[in-house]
Amino acid sequence: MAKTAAPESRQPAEMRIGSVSVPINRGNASAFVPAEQIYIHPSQGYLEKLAFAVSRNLPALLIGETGVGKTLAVRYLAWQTNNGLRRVNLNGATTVDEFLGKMLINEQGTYWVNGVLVDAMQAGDWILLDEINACLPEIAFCLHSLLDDDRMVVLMEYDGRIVRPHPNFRLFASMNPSEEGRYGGTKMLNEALLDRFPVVIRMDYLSEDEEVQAVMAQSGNRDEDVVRRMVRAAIDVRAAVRNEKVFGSFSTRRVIDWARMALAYDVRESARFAVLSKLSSYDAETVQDIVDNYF
Amino acid sequence: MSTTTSSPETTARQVEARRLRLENLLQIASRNFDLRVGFDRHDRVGRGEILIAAEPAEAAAADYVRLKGAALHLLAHSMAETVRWAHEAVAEEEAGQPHFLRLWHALEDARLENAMIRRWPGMRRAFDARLLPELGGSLLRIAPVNQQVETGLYFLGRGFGDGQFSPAVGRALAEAREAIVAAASGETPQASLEAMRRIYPIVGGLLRRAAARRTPLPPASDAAEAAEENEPGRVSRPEKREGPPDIDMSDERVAVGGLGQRHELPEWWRPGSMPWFERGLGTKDVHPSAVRSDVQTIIRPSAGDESAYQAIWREVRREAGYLEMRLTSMLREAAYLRYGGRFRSGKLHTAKLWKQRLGVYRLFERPVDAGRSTAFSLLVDESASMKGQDKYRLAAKTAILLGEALDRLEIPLEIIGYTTAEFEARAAMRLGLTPAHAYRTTRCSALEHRIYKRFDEPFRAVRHRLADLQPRHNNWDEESLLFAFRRIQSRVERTRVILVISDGQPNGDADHLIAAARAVENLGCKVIGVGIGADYVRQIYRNAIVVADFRQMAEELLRLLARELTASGRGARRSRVLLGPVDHLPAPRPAAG
Repeated sequence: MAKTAAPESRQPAEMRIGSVSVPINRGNASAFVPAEQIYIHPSQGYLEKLAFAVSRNLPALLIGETGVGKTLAVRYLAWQTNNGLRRVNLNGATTVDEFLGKMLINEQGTYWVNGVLVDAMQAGDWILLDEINACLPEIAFCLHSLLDDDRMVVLMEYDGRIVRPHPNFRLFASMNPSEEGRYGGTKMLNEALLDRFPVVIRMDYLSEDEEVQAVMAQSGNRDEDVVRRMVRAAIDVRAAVRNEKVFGSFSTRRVIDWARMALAYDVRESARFAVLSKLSSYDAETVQDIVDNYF
Repeated sequence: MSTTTSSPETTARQVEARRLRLENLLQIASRNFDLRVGFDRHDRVGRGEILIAAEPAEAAAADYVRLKGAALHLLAHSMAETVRWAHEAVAEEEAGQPHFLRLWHALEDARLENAMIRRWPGMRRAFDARLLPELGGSLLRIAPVNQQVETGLYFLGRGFGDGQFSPAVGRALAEAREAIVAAASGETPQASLEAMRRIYPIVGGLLRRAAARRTPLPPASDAAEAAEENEPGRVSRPEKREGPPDIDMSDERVAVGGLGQRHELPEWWRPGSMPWFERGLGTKDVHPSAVRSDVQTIIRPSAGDESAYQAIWREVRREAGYLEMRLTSMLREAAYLRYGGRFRSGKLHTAKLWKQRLGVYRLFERPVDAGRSTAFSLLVDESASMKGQDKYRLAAKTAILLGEALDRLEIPLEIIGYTTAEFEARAAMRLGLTPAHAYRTTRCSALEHRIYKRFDEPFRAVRHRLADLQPRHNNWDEESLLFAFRRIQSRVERTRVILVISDGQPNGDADHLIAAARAVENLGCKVIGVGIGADYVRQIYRNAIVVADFRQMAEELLRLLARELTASGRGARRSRVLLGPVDHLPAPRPAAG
């Protein structure tokens, strides 16, 4: 049975996050609108700052350790505001062709195929450039004109045409911090590119209470005491990582995996498969001791 | 490189592994990452140090959970700073309340463990493992009264229920149960001390009566003297532990480092007079106390001094500018993204479009590697032998020259200084491996790696650190080469080059270094030895340059960089860096005996 849509007049025209209002894109039929998202609002106000960037049409850069919820924050906002979201994972081999577009050929002659960026710009979807500090410098430079006040890209490979973004188009980028050299393949972000992001949000892990709520919501594990102990173990490991006692990470994502597995198996046994097996044997010993402290 | 082990060494390695694991655990739990943990004859909690009572064999073989329980118990005392309140308990005891200190300690043990378990529930297992073998079961009832009370306080405090005490002790403990339980769930040592003052009157009568029944013992020192009077020579006094012999550090052996620090050189080192280069010595050993993981060998370099850096910079500025200019002009052409090949997709090569009429559709090009993808690791020998002829200063200049030039060209570079934590001969003597020269293939001292610049650090932010580059102790090049290799391996750049600046005088058997260099090269990483003042490096590295002064170094570096940066990926990987003859270098000396 088809779901009856609520009368348009009853739907709110905008959503409010803190002091910021973000318009809801009613009637958007993009196939890229994310499905329902569970998101615990962090007390640090990241979401509000992200909403601020959206409301003012400003590109935003999110920096944070793996699994702190950078992508989720953007996806949640896209879902709430009914905007399509395209996510591009950049890597050292992503070329400008894949990004802007390329000429192809068939029996009739040559034809142009838009890349993911141009496609999103024309469709009015949001785009999230994941791991922007792993991309080739060529891609970074072609973003400059889009991030500048000009807000356009020139398709030099095609016919030199200028593509300007749809009013609903928004650009987000995310990256793991490259300062500590723990994420292979990343490098320091070019200052010129960094300078072109008016909003840069450094995301930290959620507070203990928030992370407990997030893990419970996303893993389905309702045993708050167990989940809290898992989160505390993760916090201990993160402190060890910061002090170079353990190499690796213990993201919220990893805690969620652990909590989910603990629904079916013993907590310590679950830790072996969801946490310890991802670490080197030396690190695993240390993390095992931390887990044993709590369970 | 091979490492042989004997049984005592295996034990020592296991002890060290456990010590490190416990140290990690305690540091993480306490969030005090400077805390040191070790094993000793007695438990001890000091400032920034926890010593666990365990003999080496015991520490290696003991149940780990039990050992962990002991360590966590001491950590609890350390975190609560129990010792700060002990003097009050001592005062109570001296005021006529026998055993007050030990009784309070037992209550405090229970309180601390409860507090730890509230915070870390899993620790209960470790604390119980520590405790259970010592419970003694029904033997408790025949133990001295004070020991029964002490155990009872701990038992009730921890919530173990009643032990099998003598009837009188059992009755007293039952009377004090509520106060004990309340005290053991308190938050501070002061609270348990106050509680003990309330509990003591309940058990104090028992203790005084028991004390009155026994003849008071003289203090331990008096007893020892008395025994010696009766039986001279029979008293076992603690033997004076043999340490390393005193080493004369005369002023003649004092040198001044790059920052003006006084650097003491021991007597076995004669600056510039005793190079050694030995081969065929055989198997290499690593003393268990010197085994460290890569992370543990990393020493944070000092922030450095601006004026010291500028002094060196002034000497290299001209060469650095020249090097950068030449490299820039060479790389400019290669820096553009190039396209090539014949593909069915990619970037259309419009000049070939006419071929479409002939049914040829491979008209596209794709990016080709322009040869820019190179990462460098500069490994600088910081051994004491680098002091002779100011070789370390030449190494510092080279590091600065490379750092400045490569930084401007955005070419990844890491600069690592390598040495040992102390002089090998001193370490060998300390460990009882004498005569030290007989153990010259045994590494007795831990490695130290000072990372002056990481790959991801901008050179300008860290360049002052290089002013601190100076001769320190010894060098085991093969292990440091592998350390640098493991770090550069994680880079995405296709070509990886390790430059080793050394005077070619590695500790131990040079064959190990030769084998390590070959292994690294076989794994796709180029190793280039840069010899200062001696051409031993030519016997070690397939690619080697030897220089005598800075000007020559700059010229060689330019040739080397030009070759690596412009020809990488174009069949130059196994090329040999050619050299002109260097006539004025000293001839190799025979191996030192």
